[in-house]
Parts: sequence; structure tokens; C-alpha cells
Amino acid sequence: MLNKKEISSFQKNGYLVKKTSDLKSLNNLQDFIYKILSKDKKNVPKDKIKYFETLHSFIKKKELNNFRVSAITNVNKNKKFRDYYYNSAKEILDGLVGNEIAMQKKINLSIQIPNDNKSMLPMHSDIYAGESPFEVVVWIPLMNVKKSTHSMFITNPKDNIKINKEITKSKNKTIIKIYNKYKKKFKFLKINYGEILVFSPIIQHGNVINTTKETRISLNCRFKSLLSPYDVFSKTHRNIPHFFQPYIVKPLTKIGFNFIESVNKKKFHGSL
Amino acid sequence: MDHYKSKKIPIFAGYINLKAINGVIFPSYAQNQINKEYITNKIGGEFFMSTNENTYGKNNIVLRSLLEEKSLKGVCFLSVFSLPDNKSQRLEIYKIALKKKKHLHFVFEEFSIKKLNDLEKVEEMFIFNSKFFTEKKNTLSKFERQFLNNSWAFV
Repeated sequence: MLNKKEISSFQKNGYLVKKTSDLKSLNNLQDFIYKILSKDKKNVPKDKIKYFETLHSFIKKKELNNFRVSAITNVNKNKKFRDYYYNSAKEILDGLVGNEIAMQKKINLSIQIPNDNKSMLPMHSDIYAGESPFEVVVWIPLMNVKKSTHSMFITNPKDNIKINKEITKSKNKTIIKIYNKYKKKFKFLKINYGEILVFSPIIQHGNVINTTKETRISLNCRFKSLLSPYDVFSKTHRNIPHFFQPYIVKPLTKIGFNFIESVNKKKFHGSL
Repeated sequence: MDHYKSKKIPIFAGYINLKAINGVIFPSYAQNQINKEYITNKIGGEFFMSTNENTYGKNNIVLRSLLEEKSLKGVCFLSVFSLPDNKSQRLEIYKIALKKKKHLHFVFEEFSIKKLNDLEKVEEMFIFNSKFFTEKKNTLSKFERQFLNNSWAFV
């Protein structure tokens, strides 16, 4: 259960960092990624976090994208991985979203090796790409993430209102100019292994070149209440079956929708 | 000598239907590419390219013809929502597929119909093709307005 303080913190900051209530599931995610990323590699450290932090010394920069794509394909083939993912964040999702859930079809894996300028994600809000304001992003680091370029940056709802206004109304400014103007309103988040970050995709966020000496590996996936709106203001592919998958559907939802269908098909006179 | 015989690769048709799948219309060439990739890499079959479903008729003639085709092991659809919207027409399609022992594969949902028990899962998906899930949300109802509170405004 989330307490009032945690919900207020989410309201004020637009995000929440909290220890998982299911460390076993989180460890399963970490084990799985370790196995995938260490396959066919020699002299890999047995300490998983040590390996993740030094991953850049086991892979060439040129190979990184294929390596990442192949790992993501493997992750998404595994049905148990989805359950481990949901269970790792279940307590927070119960508190913020609900327990009847639509889950993003593809879980994403992010690998940020030091000084890689090809994995940057400039400041953005997911809403601009047609995502639902009813969803959250569950961001899971597989190691300790430092409060620096090793992490991702995010702003808060109060400043987000100003930034969003400028992005959507400015006729001559670029994203980078607006980001630089508000740079101090963003912070890099420190998140320890065992903690989960959940944030609203409405809030501007992104990442810069990782200038630390350690690689950062994290997972992200979006969740929303199954019965909340999908296409808000624009009709895109951010819906079922393109982007989301029904993950938990309660029996009464099935009964209710089937009831409406039966009445509409005039199987009996159902209108009052 | 049997082990020298190569195993026959089953052939699956990619079904092309130009109706929108929850708001998205995929052009024929994109449907062909998606179906081909799924048939070849996911199912391990050989891709058979079919013609577009007749957009004027309501009899699913192309789909029914594919299910009658003896050389095919089954049919691959982009989505469960590529099946006929009308339930009785869907039931007719399932009936033919099961009778002819054809497999129906759905790319986006990553599941298939191979036997009678598989039907329930596919039919349950049609909940998500209802207006509740497909209509764009632009306004708030009087009931929804009671939840408005500036302290939750993120934009």
C-alpha cells in the first residue's frame, strides 16, 4: 500500500521512487538480463552489478545497437519476464493506477555506456507522441544509478506547466534552447538497485551523454488502468492491440461488456 | 534413409484486410511484410501472398477461399480485429477453420487458434474492439468533472 505521504510526493514531483515489495521478482529480472547480456562473452564477472557497470569493456560501441535489439527481442519472448516486471512494481501500481491493468506490449531495455552520443534522448513528454495521460512509466534500474548523467533527468509538475506551454506555443525556439533555459528545473535521479521509479509520462524527461565511467542498464514499461482512456485528443496506435496488451482483466469487466453486447444484439429487451 | 528427407515446411497465407485496426489502417504492402516476417520467423512456415479481402462485399470471400485451400496449413492475420466484426460471421470462419484443420495466427496478440479451446481467448479480445476502447477522448462528462483539481494539473 502507498501511504498518503507517498501519494502527495507523486502529486508534487510527478514521480515516485520506492523500494520494491517483491525483491524476488526484481532479482529474477536482473538474473534474466545478466544471462542474456553475458551469453557468448568471455571472462564475465560473476557479480552481476559489476558486469553491468563494466559492460562497455565487453562490447564495441558499433555493436551496441544490435546487442540491445537482440536483448530486447529475448526479453519480450519470455512471458514470465512480464509477470516479474509487473510484480516488481505491483504495490506502486496498485496505489497509483489500480489492479485491472493494461501493460505495454514491449518492455524496453536501455543501455547507456559511457560517452555514447547515440543513445541520447532529448527532453520530451511522451504525451507528444500520443501516449495516454492515464498511464505511468515504470522504470527499473538493474544496478545503483547515480544522481548524475548516469541517470535520467526529469522536471516537476509546476515547472512542467511552463515548459510545456513554451514547447507547444513557441514559434522560433528549439527543444534544446528550451531545455537549456530550464536546465536548472531538471534533476537527475538517484535510484538504488531494489528501488523502482514510477513517473507520469506527461512530465518532461530525457537523458544526456553518460559522462561517468560506468554503464547504466535499466528497463522501462508503461502501465495504465485497463478501463481508462487510450486515445486522448489524438487517435494514434497507442492502444490495444498495437501498443498495450490487456494484462489483468477482472471477471466483472467481462460480464459487463458481454451484457452490453447482448442487449445491443437484441438477445433480450434490456433497455429500461 | 528417412533422415535425409527434408521436413516439409507448412505454408501459411497472409490475410490482407484494409479495415482499420483500432484506428490504424495498414497498407497492403505493410500487412504483407508484417505477415511474412511473422510466418517465416515466428511460426517457421512459408509465406503465401494472397489478395486483399473484398472491401465491398460482406461475405469475407477471400478469407473463406483461403480456408478452403488444401495446400495451406493456415492463415496469418495482423490482429484478432482483422477477423469479421460480425460475431456470426466470425463463428462461421472458426467453424470452417476447425473443420479444415487450419491454424489461424494473430501477429499483434501473438496467439493462435488451433483447436476449439482457443476460441474463448480470441473472442474475449473483442471486448477491446468496443467503442469504449476505440473512441477518442476529447471532453469530460459532468460526472468526470468532479475529479478536476488544479493540484493534479501536470500541464
